[in-house]
Amino acid sequence: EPGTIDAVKNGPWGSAFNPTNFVHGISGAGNNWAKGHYTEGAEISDQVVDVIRQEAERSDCLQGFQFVHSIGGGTGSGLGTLLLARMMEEYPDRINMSFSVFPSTLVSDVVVEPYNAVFSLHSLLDNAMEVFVMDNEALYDRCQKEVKIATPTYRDLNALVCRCMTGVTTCLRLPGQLNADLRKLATNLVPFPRLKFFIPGYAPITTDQRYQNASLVKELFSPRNMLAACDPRRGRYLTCACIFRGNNLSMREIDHQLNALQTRESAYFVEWIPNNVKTAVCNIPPLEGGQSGTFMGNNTAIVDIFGRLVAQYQLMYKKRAFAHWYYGEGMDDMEFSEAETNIRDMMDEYSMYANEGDTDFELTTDQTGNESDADDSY
Amino acid sequence: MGRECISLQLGQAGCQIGSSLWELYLLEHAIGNDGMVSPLIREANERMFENAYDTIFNETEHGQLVPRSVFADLEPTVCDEIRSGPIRAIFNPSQIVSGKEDASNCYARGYYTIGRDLIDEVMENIRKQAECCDCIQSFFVFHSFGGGTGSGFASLVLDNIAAEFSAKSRLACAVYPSPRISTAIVEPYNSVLLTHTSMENMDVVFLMDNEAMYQLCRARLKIERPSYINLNQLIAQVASTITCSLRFSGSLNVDLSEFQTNLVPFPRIHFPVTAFSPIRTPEQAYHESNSCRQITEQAFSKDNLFLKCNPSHGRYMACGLLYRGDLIPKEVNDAIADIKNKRTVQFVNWCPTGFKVGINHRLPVVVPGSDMAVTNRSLCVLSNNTAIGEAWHNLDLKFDKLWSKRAFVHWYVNECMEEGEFSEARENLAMLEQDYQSAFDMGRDEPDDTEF
Repeated sequence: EPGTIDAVKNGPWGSAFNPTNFVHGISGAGNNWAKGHYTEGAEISDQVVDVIRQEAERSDCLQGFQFVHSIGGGTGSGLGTLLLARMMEEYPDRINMSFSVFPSTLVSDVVVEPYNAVFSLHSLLDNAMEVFVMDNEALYDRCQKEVKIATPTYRDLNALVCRCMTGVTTCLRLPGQLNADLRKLATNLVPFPRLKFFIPGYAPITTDQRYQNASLVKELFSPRNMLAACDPRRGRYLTCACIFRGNNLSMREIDHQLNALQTRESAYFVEWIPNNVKTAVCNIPPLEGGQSGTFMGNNTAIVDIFGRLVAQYQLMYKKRAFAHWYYGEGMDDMEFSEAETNIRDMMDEYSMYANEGDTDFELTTDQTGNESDADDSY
Repeated sequence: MGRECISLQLGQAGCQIGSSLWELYLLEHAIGNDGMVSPLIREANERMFENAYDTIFNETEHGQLVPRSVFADLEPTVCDEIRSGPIRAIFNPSQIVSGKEDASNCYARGYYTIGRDLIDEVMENIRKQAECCDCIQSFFVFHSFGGGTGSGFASLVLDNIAAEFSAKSRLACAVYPSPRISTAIVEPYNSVLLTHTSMENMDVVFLMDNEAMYQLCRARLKIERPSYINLNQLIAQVASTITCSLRFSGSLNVDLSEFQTNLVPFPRIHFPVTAFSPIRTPEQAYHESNSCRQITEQAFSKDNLFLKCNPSHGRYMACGLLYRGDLIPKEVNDAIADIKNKRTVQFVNWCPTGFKVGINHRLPVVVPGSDMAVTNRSLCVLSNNTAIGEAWHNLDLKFDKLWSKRAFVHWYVNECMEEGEFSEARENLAMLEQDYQSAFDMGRDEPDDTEF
């Protein structure tokens, strides 16, 4: 529907965009995933795909797509996942990455969001390669507690999300000592094709403090700086990626602090991956100066978020509450149960790897037999 | 003139090391950043018969010196930095080859899919470089083990070079995965696959790892927060000493093919580690003396190695000592005699001679702004020790952990690789570990050895 798009077009940056790149329908999806995915959305999807194709043709060498949407609504979830599927079909070897705003536990904007979220997740599982899980509850929390904004608006929440997004694409845009484009991040972060849901984080969130490298690594792994309402301590990290930006970064400090963290907190990292952290370093400092880090964690505790969604979904679906809005757009019971099964399978896979240890491998002593440096702590 | 050596800089690590290396070469030969040598220096060189920079530079008819080198990376960022860096003017633009999309830390992308798109251009460049040479002696490759381009694309390039230039030696300076720290999660896979594929194609691979070099920077150079630029400067010093005999005269020259012959006892055991001395700050240099004996002793200390490994856990199979600067053969022989008497330096019994010595009289040079002290003599030790088997063992353990769950394998299989290749590579490395172990076992004195 045209409302938000008109607001962007008339906003301060509206004239920077090519006007043909704004596509909107008239009636909106009415918070209905099925409308966004099958009926209303399908009507404008061809137009959107055309525009995307034109942009892709203008590129020298397309790396992939970044989808930014919420999965609780109608358009972002329904049309968003439809487009994701279309892009997967047309450009199967390009990276499809999505920044998805998940429904929060305590803060609920839409009554049917469990349905919309479950159907979107089902589609994301099949079509996206990297999914960044964010939710408003965590974002509000960060704004209030870390950024110290008493009454955060969506503008403040979006600012946080943008910091994270720019952090993720830093190495694509700027030179550094150790580069990592989107695909390199995916190769290192996704051990099995379906385990691709990451918790994003960013530090420093407060703009008036200058952090040394020493605290930066600690801050990145601290749940205070994560943008998803999920406690990483309830699970284990499969893999993580840290992208550092700054003028005077020491590779040695970063390498050693990450190693020290993994050794100290080894219970929270799976043993069957010898080194769980991918590092990337960019020499250009962030806009506000100093140093910053972006964090992407593939943690098994993410199933908590999915578990909550599925539980809410089940409560509603058992009584078929609100389901007629979806049946009315051509969906059937088969799709409802397929979606739930797919997500449960993925959750089981995560839980399996959380609990699996590896007892066959004994770490041998360090090759030199002595500790290399005394000051590994920070 | 002959004896030319073509440098190949592959991947981000290779290109960044190359940048530091050519900066050092320019200083050593007093060549300006535009590739020209001043007429006075040319005259002085001719008088001393010192214009053997032919081996690494190609002189055009205008008198410009162009490096005999190819920089290749599958993505453009790193090459763009070189194209806009301080020494950009010495390179012919066609020597710096970059693709559009990188190997993303995936050996299979570097070897099979993305690498295949760039290999023709790179080989074309190498051929062009080879045509400008009278008689190439060797290829000197710089790359990392853990990256996608450094492992996959490097293997592909080496395959092609081995096929086309089979009679020429192929040496490499490679960044090996550190035992404890790492920047890429799939590093073990890439390293094992690279070693397997290039085992037959490489003659000598000098191993170095970041952890050991960081330690050197902190302990010796007092750099609190070392970064890659510091490490690359150290690597450049080592590489410069290795090619030193090709470029300057000395009392005991060592060709690159002589490294092969003297350092590699069995074809598969071709992974020596490097050590360099003196590594010290200008303040220390003021207070410490720098005799031949002292630098030799320092170079044989475990803390001066560029790879994390304990040589006293194994035995030396061969050792190359490349001295450089102001010294005479007599001092060198005395220093070596001292080393032979050290208990920590034990050789296998099937290698009675053990040492290959090179002496070059050109003084070592230090890049201004680097933290190393200017010195009038230096030593680079290249040692082939059975203890390096431990480093392979730890790498294999890491590989096994990942492989046990088949983690990340789908990224490789999607790029036209087969799972069988992983198992083959792992078996090859298991055999390599055994080779090192047998070399050690063979080399220990039996209690009832009779003497003639």
